[in-house]
Amino acid sequence: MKKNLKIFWLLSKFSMKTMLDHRVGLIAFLVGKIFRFVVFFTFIYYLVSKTNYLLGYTLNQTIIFFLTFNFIDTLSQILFREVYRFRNLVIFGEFDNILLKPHHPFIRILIGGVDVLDAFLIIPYSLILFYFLIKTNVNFLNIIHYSILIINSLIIATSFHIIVLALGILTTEVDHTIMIYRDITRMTALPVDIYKEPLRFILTFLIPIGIMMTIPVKALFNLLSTQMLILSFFITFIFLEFSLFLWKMALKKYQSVGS
Amino acid sequence: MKKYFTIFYILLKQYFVYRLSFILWRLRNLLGLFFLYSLWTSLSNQKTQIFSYTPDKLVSYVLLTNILSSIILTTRTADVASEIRSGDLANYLIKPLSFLKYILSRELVDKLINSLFAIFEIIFLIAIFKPTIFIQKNIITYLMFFLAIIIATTIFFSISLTLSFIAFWSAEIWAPRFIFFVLISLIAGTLFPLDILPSSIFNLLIITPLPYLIFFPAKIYLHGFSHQQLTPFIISIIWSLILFKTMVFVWKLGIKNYNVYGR
Amino acid sequence: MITVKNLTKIYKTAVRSKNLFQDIFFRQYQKSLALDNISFEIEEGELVGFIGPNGAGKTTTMKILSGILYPTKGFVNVLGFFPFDKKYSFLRQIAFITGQKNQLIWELPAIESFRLNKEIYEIDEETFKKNVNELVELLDCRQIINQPVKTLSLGQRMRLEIINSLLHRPKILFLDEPTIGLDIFAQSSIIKFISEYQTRYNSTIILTSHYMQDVRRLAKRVILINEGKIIFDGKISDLINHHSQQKIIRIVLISPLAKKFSLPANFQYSYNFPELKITLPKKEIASKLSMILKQIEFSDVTIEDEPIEEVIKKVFKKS
Repeated sequence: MKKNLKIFWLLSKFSMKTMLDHRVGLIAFLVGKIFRFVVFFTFIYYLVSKTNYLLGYTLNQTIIFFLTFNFIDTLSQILFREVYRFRNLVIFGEFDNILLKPHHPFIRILIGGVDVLDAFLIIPYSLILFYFLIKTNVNFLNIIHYSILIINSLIIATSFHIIVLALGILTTEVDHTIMIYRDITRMTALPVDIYKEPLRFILTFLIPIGIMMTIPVKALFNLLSTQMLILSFFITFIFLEFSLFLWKMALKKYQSVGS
Repeated sequence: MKKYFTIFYILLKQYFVYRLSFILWRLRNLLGLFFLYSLWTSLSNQKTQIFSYTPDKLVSYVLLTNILSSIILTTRTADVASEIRSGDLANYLIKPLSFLKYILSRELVDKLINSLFAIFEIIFLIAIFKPTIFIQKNIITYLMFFLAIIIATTIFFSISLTLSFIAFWSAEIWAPRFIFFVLISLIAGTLFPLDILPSSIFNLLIITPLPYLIFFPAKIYLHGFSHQQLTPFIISIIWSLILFKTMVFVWKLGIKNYNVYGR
Repeated sequence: MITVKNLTKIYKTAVRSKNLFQDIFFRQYQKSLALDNISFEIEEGELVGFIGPNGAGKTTTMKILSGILYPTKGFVNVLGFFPFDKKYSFLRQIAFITGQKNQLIWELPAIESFRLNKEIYEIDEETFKKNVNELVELLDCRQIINQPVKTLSLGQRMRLEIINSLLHRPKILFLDEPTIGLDIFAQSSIIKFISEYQTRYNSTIILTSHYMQDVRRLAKRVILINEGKIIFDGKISDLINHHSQQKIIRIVLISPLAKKFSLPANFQYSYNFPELKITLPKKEIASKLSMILKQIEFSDVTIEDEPIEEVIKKVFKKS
């Protein structure tokens, strides 16, 4: 464990040093990301303030849905940025060398490239989220549920990224799969309730982004039954197991390159 | 001219080779459409009218802007940047063909295939959800609508290609493009009809070229062409001319400055 | 130390059809036999060269031995482990070096990559410093370990790459085309290093290379692979003795050949004044050579083995 933390720390340091090589790009990305957040936030705020409600949720509640989505999304981008570069590792054969290192490959290919930019942005994002949480009346127990379910969401996010890696080994295609993942999660920037059945069912239980983005906020507003809470954990567990199964299978089928 | 037809044909065949990645790209587009469609329908279920838009017009707006995006905002001009950086551009420069015309043929193929797919997707969506949609009946409006699409395409093509030409001078090619995409996704009109914004902001936006990419053509289709749209129409023509000229100018400047990188 | 019995590896590649639906749901695969039931053993301290044309199965064998690939069939045991399990205690004892592949962090000085490997392989500070110093001396690259890797030449990078892979003193070293793309100076300095390293630490080294001279200078034992099968396994000298029935005679002439000079019709020779090159069967050298030499004026005669490339070509043709 101590060794893994040390490796993780070194890799993060390297990724920070590497990023500082591209200062102009860094600033441009920062501006772009802030701008996107501000406008999307304003859009939802403006829209729901005109219509007063979105599916029975008040303005503040809708905003918390969006901010929670944004928080989880940013957090998983901080951690899993290296997945976006996995295709190159596979097609140029560098993945071979990673497999030969005496540590779990996930340390390198899953969490080996912490995104410094998002790590910086998460601070203002959390503060805004915190502000709206205070403004909305929620009780302490629900906050606990909410926090636990967010950790649960990160497990789902981890599973998604493991699946992307496994598919990357099997098909050498990563760029589209990871963007499809991003697009699917972006569908839950607002509660899954906006979707009609059977889409809602699929997005909650089969591709569990509903559990990832909507369920924590529902727990916060005390709208969640105990059954649904347990079911959420159960589905997360199944999903994680599935992703690990896929990963192990992919390793067995891995054919390397140029041989 | 004949060789550009041949190029067109060969590029068309390429899509069948890379069909899986193309289909995945369309899938991504469809996911975005689901989101917007569901958001607007659930909002308009609560009220009969949001701002100046009746539910059928809102739904039509979402579907229409999706087709418009597939025609106007699809592009392969982003590839040009990496072609410049890797030195592959040299392969085109030594051939007896105009690079800009070559890019244009590549662009047309891309737009053709994407818009065909977009139409199928929307027919599919209409078949599933059976929304009421607004059909324009005025011929003049259609004429102006198509003109607006051509202007929009020119504006987008020129900006996107100019951004790729940055590669002649700098390796930082993704950051400016990222900002451009963020701007487009927010103020070109793909997210929401821009005229629901307070008029002070709206009047500021229409001085920029971005609303003419998606919002303006859609507006003409849904509300018809009237004298109110004359000023914006002229602004958009001026923008398209300026941006196209700029693009050609930057290109000429760039190839003079071109050292083959890499390899 | 390494035991391989009846090892088979089959690659599956998807075949595209015209029908996308079929491609996604009922994919057609083409199977190709990369390794066909091969067996061999390698002892501690051996330096073995794998030789064969592209796609013969050399790299596949090394990738199975190191645990990157999963064997389709057969028994593989390396240092007492099944390599694919990737037990850390196994991985800590091996290293895999590939020419023209970069493991060093591109933007940063090589020393940073060394530090990372120090943590990964859990090398203590003292051993780390000692090993870095020794290797840096041996490969003569003290000046470049603090420069960003991207500013270095391929030859310099390759030397650092080797240091990076040897910091943990692996017992088994896999070298896949270590000199590919290098100029002759860089190439020979790396070959010299490998041979010095092997004598010093008595490590087991398995090598593939396109340059036969590399293999000849390093390996006593070679394994020839063709189309997934082992066609020769033994000493290089045996390979030449068994498979080469000819010698090459080079004669430096003093004056050009007379017009009437002729060789028996079945002799292969080439003539470009002042050199006359004749290929003779080994058995006939004694009798034929004296006969030839009587007819000409010369200043020098050398008798050489056939080039190893030629011998190997013949062996491959036979198989």
